Amino acid sequence: MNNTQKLIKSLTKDIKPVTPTKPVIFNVSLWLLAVVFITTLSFFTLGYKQQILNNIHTTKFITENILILIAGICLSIAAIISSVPAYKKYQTVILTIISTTIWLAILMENSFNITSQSFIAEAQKYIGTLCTADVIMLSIIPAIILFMMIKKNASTNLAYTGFLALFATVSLGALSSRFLCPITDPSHLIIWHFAPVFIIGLLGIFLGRLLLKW
Amino acid sequence: MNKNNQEQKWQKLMVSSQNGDSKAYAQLLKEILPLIKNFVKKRVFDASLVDDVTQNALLGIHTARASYNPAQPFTPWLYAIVRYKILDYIRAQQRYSDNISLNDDDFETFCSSATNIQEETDIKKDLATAMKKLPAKQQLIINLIKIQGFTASEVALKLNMSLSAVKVSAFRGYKTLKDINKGGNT
Repeated sequence: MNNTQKLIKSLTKDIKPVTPTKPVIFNVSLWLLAVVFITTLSFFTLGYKQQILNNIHTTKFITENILILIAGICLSIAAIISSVPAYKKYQTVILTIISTTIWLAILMENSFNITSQSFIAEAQKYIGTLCTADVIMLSIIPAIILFMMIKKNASTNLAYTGFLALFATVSLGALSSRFLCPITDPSHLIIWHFAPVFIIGLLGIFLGRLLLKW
Repeated sequence: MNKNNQEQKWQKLMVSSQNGDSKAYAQLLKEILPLIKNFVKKRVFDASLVDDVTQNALLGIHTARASYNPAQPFTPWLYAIVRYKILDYIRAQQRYSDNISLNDDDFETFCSSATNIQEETDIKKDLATAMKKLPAKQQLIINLIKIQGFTASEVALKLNMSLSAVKVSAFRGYKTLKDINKGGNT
């Protein structure tokens, strides 16, 4: 008996039943429920600001956040689809394009309303780092949950899956952070709320390679 | 048997394997083995590595068996895992040939520095000598984990040992290597 046959024998001996991967829609719904729960809990902990009620009534605020929500959901679906071996690549590519286009449109819309002076002035207001900290804090637990769900699925494209997962989580983190921040200045939003989404999302490439290896 | 029938048969065997049927699982692995070997042979040109890569792929299939969706065809899933495991194996080999580092405190070589070439050769020789002093089982475990890039749980499956036994054996091996190296340096 050669080594391969010995290996087959040891693998098949006392094999334990496993639960097959749940459908994508089930996993996405479960994750979104967890995100809603964690975000609600965080709102109570971090403090809900009364001023934001005025912003919620503006069309810009509502439209922007609905679009970010759509981008976040698309990215999470793409992350879960790409976490299974032999996934359909075109599905994840389409979802990634939709989400990235939404994000670029939001960035462009905001950048039309800023001047270089206001941008530089805003970049020097270090108080904005608190908003980035909110984005990160609101993303940590959802990111851990999503990475754990994905890890079970044995991804064969670690960097891409990691990127999509972190991009999805930070997108929703940025969305939640808007409810905690009363500032609506486009420079502030671009520098402290939206830019971190892209930067942290790219970190997902490394995190994916590191954490999703199986 | 045509391809469709074979595909359906493997799908059924895989579903039974997911439910814990060891006979179905053994039959499935035996039937797909030639397929995996041929796939590996076409991509790994070093014939001496084909068996190792094939075993690595089998371990991958075992680890990822929960990720198979019974509603989807089996063969693309199988090939996706084998392809991933081939790349994984090649990357691990590449890492090993680029930089050996068993213990960061004691062994550190940088392949790009020309001044380190002599030192690197010496360390490789010392390491090879030290490895020979270890018991055969420890040598094998360290080789599988550090050189071939298997995880401890994969080694446990491969050698039919418990995970903790593999970890303990590897740890003892590293400690012995460290002691040998210290003894050699003093």
